[in-house]
Amino acid sequence: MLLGTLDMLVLRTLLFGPAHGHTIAHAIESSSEDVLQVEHGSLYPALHRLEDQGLIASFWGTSERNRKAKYYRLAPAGRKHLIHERTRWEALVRAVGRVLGPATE
Amino acid sequence: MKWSRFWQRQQRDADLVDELDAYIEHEIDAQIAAGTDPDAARTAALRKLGNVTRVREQVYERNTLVVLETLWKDVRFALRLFRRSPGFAAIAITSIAVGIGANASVFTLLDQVMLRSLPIERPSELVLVTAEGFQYGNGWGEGDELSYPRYVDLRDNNQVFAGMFCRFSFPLDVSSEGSGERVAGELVSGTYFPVLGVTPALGRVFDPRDEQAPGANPVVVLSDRFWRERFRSDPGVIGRSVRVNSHAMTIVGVAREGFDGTNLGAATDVFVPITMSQQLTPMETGLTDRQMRWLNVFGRLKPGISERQAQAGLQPFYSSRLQFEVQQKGFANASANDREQFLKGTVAVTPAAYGKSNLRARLTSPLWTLTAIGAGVLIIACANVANLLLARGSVRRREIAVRLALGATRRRVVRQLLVESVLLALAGGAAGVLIATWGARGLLAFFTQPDVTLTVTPWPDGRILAFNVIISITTGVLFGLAPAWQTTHTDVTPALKTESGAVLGGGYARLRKGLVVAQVMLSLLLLVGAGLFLRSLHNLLAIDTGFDTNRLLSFSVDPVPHGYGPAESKMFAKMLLERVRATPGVAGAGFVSHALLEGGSWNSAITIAGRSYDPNHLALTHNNLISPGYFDAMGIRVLAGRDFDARDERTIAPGAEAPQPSIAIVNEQFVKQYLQDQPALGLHIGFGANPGTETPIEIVGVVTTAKYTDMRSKPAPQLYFPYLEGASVVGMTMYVRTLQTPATLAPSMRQVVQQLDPTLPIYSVRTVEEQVNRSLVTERLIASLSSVLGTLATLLAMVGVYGVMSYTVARRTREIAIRMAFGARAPRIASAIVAEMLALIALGVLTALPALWWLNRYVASQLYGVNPTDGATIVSAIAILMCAAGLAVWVPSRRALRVSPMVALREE
Repeated sequence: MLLGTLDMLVLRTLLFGPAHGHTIAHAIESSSEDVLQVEHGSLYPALHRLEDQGLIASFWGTSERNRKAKYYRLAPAGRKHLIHERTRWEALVRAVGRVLGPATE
Repeated sequence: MKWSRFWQRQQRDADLVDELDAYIEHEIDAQIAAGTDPDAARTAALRKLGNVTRVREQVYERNTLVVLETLWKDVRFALRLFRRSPGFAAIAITSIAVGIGANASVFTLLDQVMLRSLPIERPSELVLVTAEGFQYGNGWGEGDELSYPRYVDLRDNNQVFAGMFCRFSFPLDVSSEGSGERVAGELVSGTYFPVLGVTPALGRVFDPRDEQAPGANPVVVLSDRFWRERFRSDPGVIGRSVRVNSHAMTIVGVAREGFDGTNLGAATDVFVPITMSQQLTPMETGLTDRQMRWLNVFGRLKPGISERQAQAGLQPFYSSRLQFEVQQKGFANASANDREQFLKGTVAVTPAAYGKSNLRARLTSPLWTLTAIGAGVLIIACANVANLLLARGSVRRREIAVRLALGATRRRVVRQLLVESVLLALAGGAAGVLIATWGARGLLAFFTQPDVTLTVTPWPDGRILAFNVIISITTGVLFGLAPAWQTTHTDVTPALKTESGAVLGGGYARLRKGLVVAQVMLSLLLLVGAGLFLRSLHNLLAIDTGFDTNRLLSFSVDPVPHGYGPAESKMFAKMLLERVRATPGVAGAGFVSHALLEGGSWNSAITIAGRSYDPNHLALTHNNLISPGYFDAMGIRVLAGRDFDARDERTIAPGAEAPQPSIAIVNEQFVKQYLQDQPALGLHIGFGANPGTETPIEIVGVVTTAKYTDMRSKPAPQLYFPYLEGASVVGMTMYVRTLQTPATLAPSMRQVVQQLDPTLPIYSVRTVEEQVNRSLVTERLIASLSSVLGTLATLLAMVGVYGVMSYTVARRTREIAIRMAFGARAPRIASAIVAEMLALIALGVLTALPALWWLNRYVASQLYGVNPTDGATIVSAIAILMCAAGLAVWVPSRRALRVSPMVALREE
């Protein structure tokens, strides 16, 4: 997985609303076509890092199955970061596309 | 990295565990919902989550400083190890503590007495200007002082100094509002404060206007310390009048805080202008007499001028002044030889950043000796720690191999070992600092004299402590690192398999043996030193002073500065003597002009009638003026002729010049040395050694020889003259033989003086025994300290021997067991080990012998009545060392004897 991709995936997942670790893990797994097919546990250090960076915030809540779970939600800084990263990413993709374009034609 | 996260790292970890648990529960639910068998669901969930511990570790490491975390673990581990082998820790810490404590306390004093400059501006520019070579006329001091006219000449005619000043220490009686006391005074030139760069704390300090004309400057500057103690920091003292030796003088200022005059060690209380010398001291002609040498002269070098250049710049002018002086009428009676010698005199310029300190001069060699001893103890202590750490390193090879095999990195293991040794060093250092403050205070108590204010504190300087702590940490690191390095570089597998039982030399065996040899050598040196100093002190204590020091009390009074005229002072002296004798408890009393055992004397060259003049063998005598009954009170026996009595009193007409004494009593040494044991009675003598000197003084008695200047002095020819024949009483010290403990009579003596004159200070009230003891304070200090430190050093060294021996036995247990299994007898094996150790010790002793011979040159001057290569001392030191070493070897060797082959071999 590309460096920083996991962060973006997490932030994008949270764009739809607060979620706990299990939900996030499965959401990323399904939406990224098994990019995160490795152990789900490796998601947690990333969550904690993002929280420390102030991009997401956490709170303890009760899940849909009535279990205690730690929820994460997108912080304003995280939203900004996601937009910024996304723009950068698209620019990169365009650039790469331009470089690769003529060769395929 | 946030500190809040660091402190919450445990809590955060617990949170994470909950969070991961929640994941598992949710996943199980999901798995079951997807139709997985409930039993398999948990396993599947755990598999999906992956390595929980790894996740926790990752998050934990984000929350912590890994270095700090592991360091703390290392510290805790080290502490646990110390608890498990408290003997090792205790010995190592004590070694370092004793080494640092001894060293730092001695060095604290050394630093303050020897190495600290005066608290003045640019002290390195300050130099002392002294007269060298033959002197003519009278002197007061150590013989290298200058006269006032000579000082003025130099001050006004030199190109090498930015400024010059002169000074003279003299005790002064200062009274303010009725109560008087004797204080330490310093007579100074007007340039004194400006040249030193000392500013006033209050009012003003002296300037050249305070050195105008003899007697014209009745002003006083107080030292800050004296102002605080005596005047309770009262700012109103400026302009107040005080009586100094009964002269009304005005306080004009207080010198800057921390400045206690130029005599380091003995602090000055009051400063007065040098021009008041005639009023305040017996120095009647001090300001005009070119041959009256009494002043310490200092100069501040101009920038870029060296002492050598200054000397070269001064010498031509100085010589021309000598040429001028020798033409003056003071030299009318000088012999050609005297003149020739006088003209060869030179001026010397020496660095004086430390001022002019008698304390410094007195303590120079003792303090360096003590420093050397302290350093010796520190070295032995460090060797001990090194040895312990090396031994421990070897013992722990197996443990380290296990840790390496389990995956610990080399760096991690080395760091662990380093943490251990640094911890030991720090604990030892901390204990050492405690010992140092306490030790320095004890040392200081040795030097404190009741009538001298010391400006030395027992608080170790930060630099000294830092120096010592660095030394101990370096030892810890160096010798902790060596075995750590070596053991971590061993191949893990063989170390695990065979280590504990193998007989291996090991790269450090030789180093450890070397350390033992060095320790034995050093401790023998210290033991011999202690023995020599003890014997020296013993000899000094056994010295016969020539008078009975038991139940003898002395005190001093000085009536002349308090307005007594010549006749009045004699009357006062007679009345005082009568009253003292009439005091209950007094068996006898007498007084002298010059107190005994104070280092000084009144000495002169004399002529004996009928003897030929020989400039190479002048008759030199130490003289004293005494009252009737003095010999009797002191226990000095009259061998021939008579003692002085009331007949010898003369009344001198007021204003008339005092004639020479008419009679004298000589001591036995005089008869022996100058009269070749011929009868002395009836012979005539005179003051002066020039041919044709008149000899009007008749010898009327011979007494036994007694010590005069100090305890160590050789028996010297002495002359006694009747005090009351003279015109006036100058200084007087009364010696009182008491019936009971002398100290109990001190209050009565004060009372007797007060009844005669309540304003007259009485000072130096003490028993002669106390004075004798005090005069040996340096010897006593060195003897006791060198014995204590020598013993400590030997103990430390023996701990080292013991350690090496125990280690050898432990390491060779397997070998011993095998040998015994093959039929060797335990005693034979043990004696082989013992022999090896004893050989090491003998080697240490042998290497010490040449070192002893070499060191002796340095201590010889500090010994009395004992040769530095004194055989008995060296032999007994070796004997003591060998006994201690024998014990240190014997105890562990018994363990070798008790080895049971079955047990030892099975253990492996």
